[in-house]
Amino acid sequence: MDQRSDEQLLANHLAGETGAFDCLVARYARELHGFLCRFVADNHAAEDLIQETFVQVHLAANSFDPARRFRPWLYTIAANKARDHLRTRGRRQQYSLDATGPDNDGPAPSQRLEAADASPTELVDIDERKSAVRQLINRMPEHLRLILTLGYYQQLPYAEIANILDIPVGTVKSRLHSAVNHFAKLWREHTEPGSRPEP
Amino acid sequence: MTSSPDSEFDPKLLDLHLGRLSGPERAALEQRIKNDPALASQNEALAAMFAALNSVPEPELPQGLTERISARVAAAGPPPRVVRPARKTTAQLAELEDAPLIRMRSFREIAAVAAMVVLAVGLGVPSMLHMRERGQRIACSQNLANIGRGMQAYALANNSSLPFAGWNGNINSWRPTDEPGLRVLPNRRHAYALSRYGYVPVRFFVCPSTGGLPMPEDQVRKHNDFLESRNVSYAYQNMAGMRPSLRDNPDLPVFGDDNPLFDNGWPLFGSLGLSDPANANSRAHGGAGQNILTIRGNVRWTTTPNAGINNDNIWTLDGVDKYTGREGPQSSTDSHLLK
Repeated sequence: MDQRSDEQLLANHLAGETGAFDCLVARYARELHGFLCRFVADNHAAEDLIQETFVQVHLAANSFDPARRFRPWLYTIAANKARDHLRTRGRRQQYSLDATGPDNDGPAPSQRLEAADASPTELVDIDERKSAVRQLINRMPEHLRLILTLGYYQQLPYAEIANILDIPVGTVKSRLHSAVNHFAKLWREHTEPGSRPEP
Repeated sequence: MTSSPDSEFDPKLLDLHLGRLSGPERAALEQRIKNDPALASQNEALAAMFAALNSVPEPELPQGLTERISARVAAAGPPPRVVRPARKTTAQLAELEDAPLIRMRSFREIAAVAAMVVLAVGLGVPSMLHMRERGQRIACSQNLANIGRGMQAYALANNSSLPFAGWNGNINSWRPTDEPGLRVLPNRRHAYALSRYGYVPVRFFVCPSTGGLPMPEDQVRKHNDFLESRNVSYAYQNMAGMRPSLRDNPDLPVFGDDNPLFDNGWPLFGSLGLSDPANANSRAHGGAGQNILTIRGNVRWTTTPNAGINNDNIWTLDGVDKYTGREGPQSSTDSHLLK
């Protein structure tokens, strides 16, 4: 694996080194795809968005400030692309947080592993729970869903999230707590039917 | 650390499940959870909720996606070049600050700005004062025009006589005096009749250039003279001699800005160092000239006191060198405007 830093790879790409940009793509494709899938809740859209993100990174490489870190810049571009997508197409209620979903054939690999030792009844319960979690996450406000994805699923440091969203670190922390509390409230309403508000 | 009002959980617990606590912080919190049943209950609920969040696995990377990304990037062509302004070093900036050319340009700019300010003040202030004076002069002429209309109305109602409050040359003096047996009757008292009998509002007797103060309207009918000298700015034809009427020469000046040679009847010849009394203008407009009103009702601005009939000096009586306070015009063409 290439040991050079992201910033060095980008500089080499600008200098004309073949393969430097591919290294960056290989380094970040998986986690960026995960982020986009979770945030926009649409696998096909996420595939388009990750391609657009890397094309944008390539086209804007000359404007990248070498004094900054590459990863927050990459996430900033990806998050902006995703928000534009959500605003253009409207928020979707039909989604897929992993490869499983209405647009895919058969269960996801993770589901196949998990289901190996489960009975048919348990499989139905697991599917229902995943589906419920996806739906609840998608009911969250966009800014809370975004920070939950960055802070919990992507496990980015607070400072990096602050850089991506251009907000103070303290705001990142409080907003992430709000996101977790918000999801907890939705989850309780889901699991305790008595506390569930009328739609 | 306390939880926010809308928070259901201790923030430290949230940080624990979010993986944001250091080793010692985590150990301390776990100890607290053991000792605090309420915190333990919260922790259980949070654990269940995070287990639900964790149940959604990480999406699988589609086959061939990285290749498709690389292909699209290659198809996009080379990145456009961005020209960044070169950053100047501290030394370069210091050099620029010390550069004589920069100093010279700055000095020139300052000098140019200063010159413009001086020019603006030099031209602008006199111009502004001139405009102000012109405005006051026009307002003054309008006052006199109003007085002229009132004067003619008065004359029409009084057998063509101009305003007159009576005069007895044996006992009256228009000049202030302590002489026994004499009663001072300022010449302005004759003009007061115009306001006293309602022909001219008393405010028209104050020229805006003089800083005078109009007499209160509600006091006018209670008196026979202006209460104070500053209630009237204009001089009226001396009524101690031949009194004019509408039948006299219509070009005779009968009202005008105050006489510079007399101060409320006191002759000022020599006392104020008037070098050329024969050519002195009223002080009402800075000595530039005076507005005068004729019997006909015309108002005009003149820059010389010799503006009467046949260039008569409107401030003096013909043939009189010493003014005791009883002198008056001896002809119908002799103007002597006096307050």
